[in-house]
Amino acid sequence: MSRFYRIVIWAITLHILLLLVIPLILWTISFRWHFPALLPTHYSLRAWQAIFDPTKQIGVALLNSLGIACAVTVINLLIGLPVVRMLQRIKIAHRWVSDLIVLFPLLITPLAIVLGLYSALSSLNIVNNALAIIVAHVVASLPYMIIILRAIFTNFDRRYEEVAASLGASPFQVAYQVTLSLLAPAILVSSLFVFLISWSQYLSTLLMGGGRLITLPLLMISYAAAGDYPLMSVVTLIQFMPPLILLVINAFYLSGRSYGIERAFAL
Amino acid sequence: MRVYHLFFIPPVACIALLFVGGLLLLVLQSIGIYGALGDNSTLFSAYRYLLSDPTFYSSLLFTTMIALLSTLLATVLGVVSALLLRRYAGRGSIVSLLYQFPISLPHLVIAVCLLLYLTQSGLIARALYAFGLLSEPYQFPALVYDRRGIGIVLVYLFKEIPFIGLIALSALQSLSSDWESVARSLGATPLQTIWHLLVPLIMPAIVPASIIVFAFIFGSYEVPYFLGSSYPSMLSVLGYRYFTDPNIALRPVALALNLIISMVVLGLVTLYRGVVGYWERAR
Repeated sequence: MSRFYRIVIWAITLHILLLLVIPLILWTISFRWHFPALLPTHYSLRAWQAIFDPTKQIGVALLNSLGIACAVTVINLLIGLPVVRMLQRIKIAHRWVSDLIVLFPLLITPLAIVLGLYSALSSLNIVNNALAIIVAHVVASLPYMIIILRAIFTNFDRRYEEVAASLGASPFQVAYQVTLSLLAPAILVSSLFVFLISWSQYLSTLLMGGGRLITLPLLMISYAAAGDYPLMSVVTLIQFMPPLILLVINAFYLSGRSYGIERAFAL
Repeated sequence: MRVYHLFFIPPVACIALLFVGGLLLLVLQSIGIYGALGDNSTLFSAYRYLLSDPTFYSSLLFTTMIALLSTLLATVLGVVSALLLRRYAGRGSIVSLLYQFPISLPHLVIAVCLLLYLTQSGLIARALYAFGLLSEPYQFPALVYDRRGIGIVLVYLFKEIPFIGLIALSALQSLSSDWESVARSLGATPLQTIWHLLVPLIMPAIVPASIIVFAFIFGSYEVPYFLGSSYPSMLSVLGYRYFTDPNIALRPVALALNLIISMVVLGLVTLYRGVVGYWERAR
């Protein structure tokens, strides 16, 4: 009986995912698929060939999305790691200060801060470019980076650092050879999380980039608005790639361990 | 003060500049002290404009309903699915990983996937036609771009059920199985064990997670921007529309609206923490 339920749960989970993806795949190879046909009536590879067509902008959008997300991830690490280390040094009695710093940005909607920054950036003439988009994405992702890193560091045993320091390691050696190498898997997961936040941004990119820099979400919505479902589906499928990579990493390298990420969201 | 402490200064300055600076600019511009408007504007006119605008109230109601409904459904279904997964699959098992997969998908990607099903000529309408249940696309009820926001809620459910489920699963994992054995040996049925034992034990993890979900949905803008109708629209979409309006005098209104959204969320969390603190002191 238990085996039966096991199979049912497997089937439900798998089918939900397949039901999401299969219509997308069908749309990418369809040429004509009008109501009320259940399957495309004419097939074509036009949408897949469009990936290599510069006028369709799919390649450019992919490179822009990847570049921006990588830059956002690096900036998040450069800001997040030192700040979380600093928060760790706050005494237990003053924990509310650290709570405030961690939670406050998470609860202010990112768009509010982005709109606040917009006029300042536009008066400095740094809107409508990649830098402004990166700033907006960092605003949207940094609160998550900090709250996840803090949960990871809470589980970290500081005594490893003390041992290394007492054996004569410099602060940089301790940070690099002990702390970072012990926390590497957890930092990898939080980096992927932040990468995905940047990867999925739409409105902040549109606002800060002024539509001049096209990313995959922007392209997807513009094809949706134009009613070009085959091209919209190709762009949507491309966006499945990083989440799939994360799934594979999770399944094979981290074997489903969580590194305390879900504990991060305990208020 | 050691030398390497200096390395903490730039990142802290970045955070201060982005978040404190951004928020300060938001407040100042919404009040009208600083910004694009000429000299004919008076202080707080944006707030007076909003509070006298019926669209604001209908959007506030609509946003609250969408966020509440999505959060409640996601919490119930997330906890139920976590209980099932714990019973019939391990936490690190492949099926649990697949279950968590939508968490990492962009909201708009899920919105596009559901769009292919929910439009009036979408796959559901085609399936109904194949079964002879409708003969023309317009007979299918509008589930996207609709005034009830059904499409919006469905997209949020796809993302937030696994999120709540993940948190419930890890909370369940940290419980000792002795609890259940004791309850069962005292004669509790499986359902009684779940309702009177497991659910109260994981509540401290679930409630904050639902508040995060509510806060996120209340302020999020991409899904309602893509799948919502023009009226009533969610507050965030209304704000974006004010901000990009050719009439530049509406910009402070957009900023005031975003400040109000943040204050509602912040007030809710403060209230929750106050209640929890009171409850813990009372015990």
